[in-house]
Amino acid sequence: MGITSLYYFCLLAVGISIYYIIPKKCRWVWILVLSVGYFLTTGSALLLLFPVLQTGAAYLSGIGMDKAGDGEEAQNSKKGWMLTGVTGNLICLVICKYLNFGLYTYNGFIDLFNIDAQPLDIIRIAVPIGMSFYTLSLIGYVLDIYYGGIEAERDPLRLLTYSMYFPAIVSGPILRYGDIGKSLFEGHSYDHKQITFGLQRIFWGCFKVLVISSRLNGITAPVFGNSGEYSSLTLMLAALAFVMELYTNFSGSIDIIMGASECLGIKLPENFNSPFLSKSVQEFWRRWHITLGDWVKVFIFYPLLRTEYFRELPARLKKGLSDKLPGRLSTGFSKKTAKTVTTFTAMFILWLSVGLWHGGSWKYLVGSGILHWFYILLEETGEPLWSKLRAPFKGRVGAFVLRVWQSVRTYLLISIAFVFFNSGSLRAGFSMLADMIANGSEGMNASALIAGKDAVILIFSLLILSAVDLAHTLTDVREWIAARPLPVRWIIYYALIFMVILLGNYGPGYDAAEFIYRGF
Amino acid sequence: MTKEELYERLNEVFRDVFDDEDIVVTATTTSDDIEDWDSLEHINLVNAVEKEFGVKFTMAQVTGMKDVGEMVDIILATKNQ
Repeated sequence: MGITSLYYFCLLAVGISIYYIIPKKCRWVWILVLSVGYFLTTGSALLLLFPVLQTGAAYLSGIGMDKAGDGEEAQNSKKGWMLTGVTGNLICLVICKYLNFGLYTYNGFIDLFNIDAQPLDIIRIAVPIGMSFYTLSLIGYVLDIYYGGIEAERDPLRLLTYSMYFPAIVSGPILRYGDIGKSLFEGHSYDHKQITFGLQRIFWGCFKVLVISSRLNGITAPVFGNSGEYSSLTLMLAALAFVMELYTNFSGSIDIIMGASECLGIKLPENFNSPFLSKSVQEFWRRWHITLGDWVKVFIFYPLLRTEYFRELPARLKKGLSDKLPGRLSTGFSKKTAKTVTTFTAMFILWLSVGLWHGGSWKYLVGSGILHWFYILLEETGEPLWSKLRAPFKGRVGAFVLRVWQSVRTYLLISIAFVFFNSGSLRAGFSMLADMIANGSEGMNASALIAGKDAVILIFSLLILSAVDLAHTLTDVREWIAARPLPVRWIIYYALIFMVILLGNYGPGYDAAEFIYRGF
Repeated sequence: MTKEELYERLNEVFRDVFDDEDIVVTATTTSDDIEDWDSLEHINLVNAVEKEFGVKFTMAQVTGMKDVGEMVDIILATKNQ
């Protein structure tokens, strides 16, 4: 059941109505019923075993850590329970999502080096919906208890409600128990304004997904995988369009999810914050898929840099390398350089994890991981040069030109990386990038992909989206609309509703129910 | 150790980590007040503070501290135990 389908909206309407009718103390149980019910509509009932077993592992791990007590021996026991919870969850994730990664890599290796060996058969495995999202939420729960941030949940059904929470299981955001646990179980009172705001956000999400993303998909889908048939300019346009398609699809689905949750009185953490206003790739990742960025920072990057190995690494590097490096390099290898090398070594592991989280495939490891690490490395280590290049941009006009260029440059860099994301394989991604340079004016141009009415609707919708994203940086747009006089308010509401109904792309060539991030 | 002495030593740590001799921190100083204090440098700062004062922050404290005042309170509480 896709989250822009009529069935989903019926489920929401019934679910929300009953939620506010039943006694407050039963409301979280109703959320669990809805969550399990929604899960069952997305695949085989047997797949339910995965979230149940994974939640069970996290639950037992939490209780074990809680009962371990204090002292050195207790610390070992606590660590054992923590590892049980984390590995239990990781094993399920690896079985479902990464088993074939090893097989693909092995087959690719013997193919590349012409090794005389039989390729291994790829295993077909059904993956439960939202597995990558709820697994991180559960591992985060275990680690938060281990680090002393929260207390263990005593009721396994409550923990299951957290892991399977039906709006968020579709494509995030990744949850932290300390932030949302209380809100999930307290049973909220009916709040007209909150429900109105929630519905507005659902419509806004539908606008992004059905009106914009689906039309952009009409440009990108024929091009990706057939890059040899299109001119360089069209390929570049498709690469630029895909970033916007992914943004409107992913952030649009998050808007629907957040809106649905808001209708239940449960506020989820924001996952996007106008990412295209970013001045650098580093800033982009603080504004794009925020909950994933926070998760890897808190549970991978920080713990890594707090290990003895990484703490001692700058001193070891300085001592070991400054004598061995020749001439100027040796004197240039300062304490600061040693610290930078250490930080970027840990950051490499962080970006490998981000790439791998997107899927067991080299295209994700490079296009959603290592390449972004490389961009940030260039941004940070090249700063002395970049600051010299920025120097001539003075005055209001100069500063404005520089600001626009920084956002454009960030968009271009992200577009190159996301070519891999949307290609069939790493090789296909490289091939498309090569065709962008080699094809020239040969091949079909963009007018074959979009023209006339659709082009006008797309440009108009993108302007609205840009205006709202910009307005978001200045004020709360929904509060601003709510403060307008009644006729103005309702003109805005009706305009949005009719745009979704009349301009939504429900054509047979595009399945709006298939959210790009739903596969994770 | 008095609070004044603690802030004096803390200033030295901040100056060393952020490579800026002009930094003077107070209880209300946050990451917004120091240009290079981002999420990458935060962990280097925490490691350096731990080394200077011989304390160990929990991960919840590392990610939860809102300003320098909170950091100082944790250091004093640990030292006084």
